[in-house]
Amino acid sequence: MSGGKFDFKVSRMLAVAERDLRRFQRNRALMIPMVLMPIVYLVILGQAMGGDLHDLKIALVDQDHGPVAVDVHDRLLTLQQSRRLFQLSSEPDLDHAIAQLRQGAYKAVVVMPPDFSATLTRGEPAPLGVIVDNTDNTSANVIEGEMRRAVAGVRPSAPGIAPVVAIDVQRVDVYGHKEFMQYLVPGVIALALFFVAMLAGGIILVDDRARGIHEGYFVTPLTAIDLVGGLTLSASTLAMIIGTIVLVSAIVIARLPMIGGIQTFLLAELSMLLLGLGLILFMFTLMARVSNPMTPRALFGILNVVTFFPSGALYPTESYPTWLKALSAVFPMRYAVHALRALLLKGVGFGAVAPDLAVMAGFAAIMLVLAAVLFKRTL
Amino acid sequence: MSEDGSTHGAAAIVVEHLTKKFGDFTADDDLNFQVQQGEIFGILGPNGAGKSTLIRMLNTLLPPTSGRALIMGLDVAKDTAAVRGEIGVIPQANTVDGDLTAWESLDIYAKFYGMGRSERRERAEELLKSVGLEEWRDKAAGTYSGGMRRRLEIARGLIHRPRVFFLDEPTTGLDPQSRRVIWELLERLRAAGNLTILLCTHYMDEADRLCDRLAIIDHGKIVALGTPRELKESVPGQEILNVEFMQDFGDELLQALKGLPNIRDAGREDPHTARLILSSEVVPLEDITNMARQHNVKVKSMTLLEPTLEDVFIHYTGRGLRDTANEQYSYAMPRIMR
Repeated sequence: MSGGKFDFKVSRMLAVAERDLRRFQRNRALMIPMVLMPIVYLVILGQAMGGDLHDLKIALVDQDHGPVAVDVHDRLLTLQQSRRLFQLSSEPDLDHAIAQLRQGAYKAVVVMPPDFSATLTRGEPAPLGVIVDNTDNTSANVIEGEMRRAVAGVRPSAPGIAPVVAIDVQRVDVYGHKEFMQYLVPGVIALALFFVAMLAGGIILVDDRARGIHEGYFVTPLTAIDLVGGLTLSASTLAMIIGTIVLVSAIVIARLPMIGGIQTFLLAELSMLLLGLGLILFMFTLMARVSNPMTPRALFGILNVVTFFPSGALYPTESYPTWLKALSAVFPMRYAVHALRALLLKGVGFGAVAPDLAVMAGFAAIMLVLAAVLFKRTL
Repeated sequence: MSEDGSTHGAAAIVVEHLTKKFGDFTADDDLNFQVQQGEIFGILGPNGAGKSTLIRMLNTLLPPTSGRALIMGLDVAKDTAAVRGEIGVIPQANTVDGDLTAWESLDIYAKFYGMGRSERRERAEELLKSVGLEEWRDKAAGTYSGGMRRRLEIARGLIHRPRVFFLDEPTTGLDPQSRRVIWELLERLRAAGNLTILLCTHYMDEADRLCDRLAIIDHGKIVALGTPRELKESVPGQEILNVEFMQDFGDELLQALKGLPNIRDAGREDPHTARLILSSEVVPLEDITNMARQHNVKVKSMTLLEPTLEDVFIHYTGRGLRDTANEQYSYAMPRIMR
C-alpha cells in the first residue's frame, strides 16, 4: 500500500510546498528582481530592439548639381527635418566620403553621378548610388528603403518629357556581402564573457563566501588586494579561454573573413580581455558585500538585459532613446561590440578601435578600485 | 599565579576585558583569561553562547568592541598581519575544497604563507602522514568522509607551523570513531611540540578528555574557569545516583524522592530512570526502595556516578547543554543577513 512509487499524500505535498514558500517568505527581497525582470525586459528590449532609427549619418555626394539632383537633395532634407531619420552632410569628394564611411563616421554615402539630371531629363532611368556600411545591416536596409521612397516621386521638370522616370537605387555593400550571423558574432562573444563574469565573479564568489571559504582565507596573511587580484586573475583566465573558444568557433561557423589576419585576432583577444576584466570587476563590486547565494542568481536576468541588450549587439544604438543611450554608454559591452565588429567584419587596425579599448580599460580600472574598496577583509 | 590560575609572561593567549557587541546584542561581555603555551584550553558553552565570536576576534576576523586580546604578545586588533602568521584556524564550517586533492589544498595554503617549494613539500608530506591521509593525498577531498575532511583541515591549519591553533567545534557532526581519531591526533600534536590549542566545543566528553583547563561561557560571560577536575569538584553535592526502575515511574515519585534526606535534587534521566543529586556521601538506600514500593515500582539498579562536566554546566548555567541548542537559530540568522 504505502511507499509505492505512485503513492502520495496531499498533506505531505503541502508540507513540501510550505517549506519552499516559507523560504521565499524569508527571502522576500529576492522577489524584487523576479518582478522587476519582466518589466526591465519590456522597457529595455522594447527600446533596444526595433525602435525607429534616427540620426543616421549620411554623406551626400552631388556630382551632378542639375535640377533633379537639387530636387532629390531637398526631399532628403525634408525627410531629415520631418522624421529626424538622417543627419545629412554634403561631401564634395566621393573617395573621401567612402573613407569616412569606413571609419564609421557615416552609415551610408548617397551619390548622384555627373549626368544624373541629364539622363533623367532624356527620359532614361538614372542610377542613384547608395553605398552602405553593411556591417550594420539594419541601418543599411532602412537607408536603402528610405532612399527608394524619397526618389519615387521625383519628376524631371523639363516640358514635353514623359512623367514617369525611374531613379534606379543601386546599393553597394562597402564590405562585400555579410551574413546576419556574422553581424551577431561580436554580441555572442560579449554574451559569453558576461556569463563567465556572472559565474566566476558573482555566483562562485558568493557561494564561497557563504561556505566559509573566505573566512578560511581571512585568517591567513592574504590581503584584500591578494584576494581581489587572485580572484580576478582566475576569472579572467576562464573568460579568455571561453571567449577564445567562442571566437574561433564563430570564425568557422559564421565564416568570418578575418581581413586583418593575426593582427585582427590579437586585437579581438585584447578587446575580450578588457571586456572580461570590466565585467568581472563590475560583478565583484556588485557582490562585494553579498552573502546570500541566491542574490547573484536572482540578479542574473536583469543584469543580462541591462548590460547586453543596449550594447548594439542586436540592433543599432541609433534607435535608442536618450536614457537608453546613456545606459548603453556606461557599460563596456557597447564598446566591445563596436570594437569587435570593426575588427572582425571590417578588418580595421588598432587606431580604429583604440577609443573603444581605452573606455573599456577605464571602466575596468574604476571597477578595480571600487571592488578593492568595498571588499571587506573582515567578516 | 594570578587569580585565573595562570602565570603572566609566557602566555600564548591573553584576553583582557574583551567585549563584542552587534548593535544592542552583546555576544561577548568583558571576558578575561589567559592560555599558557603548550596548553589545551577549552571554551565550553551552548550554541550562541559567544564562543565563535570570541574565536573570530582572536583570529582577527572581527574587531573587538572594547578590551584587548594578545596572541604570542601581538595585539589581534593592531598587529593583525603578524597575528595571522602565528595562528592556525579550523573554522566551524567545513571549508575543505571538495574539488581539490589533499596535496593541492595543503600546497595552496602553504603558498598563502609564502613558503618555498621544498619547504611546502616537506611540510605537506609530514602533515599528511600525521593526520593519516598519505594514501589519499591525490584523491579529491569531495570523496572523503567527514572525519577525513576534518583531518585535512587540521593539516591545512598547521601547514605554516603556527604556534597557536584554534579549533571551533572540531568534532561536531562526526561519528564517535572519527571523533576519537581527531582527539588522538590533537593529543599527539600537543605532545609533539609546544603547540597551544584553543578549542571550542559543546561536547562535555571532548572537553573533559582534551582540555588542561576550560572556561564555561554562557550568554557571553565566563561563568566558570579551571581544570576539569577543579570544575567538577566545585559543584556542591558532588555525587549523583542514577536509580533505574523496572517500570516507568510517575512525577509523584520524583517529587517524593526530592523530599528525602541527603537528596538535593531529582530529575528524570529517561522514562524509567531517575537522576538524584546527593548533598551528602550517605546514600538513603532504604528510603529510596521504600518510596518506590509505595509508588508501585521496583528498583532494578542503582548507580553512583561522578559528576560530569554536564553537571558542572547545569550547575553554573541552570540548564543542560542540549536544552539550549535551539538558540543557534536566532544568533545565526543576523550573521547571514549582514
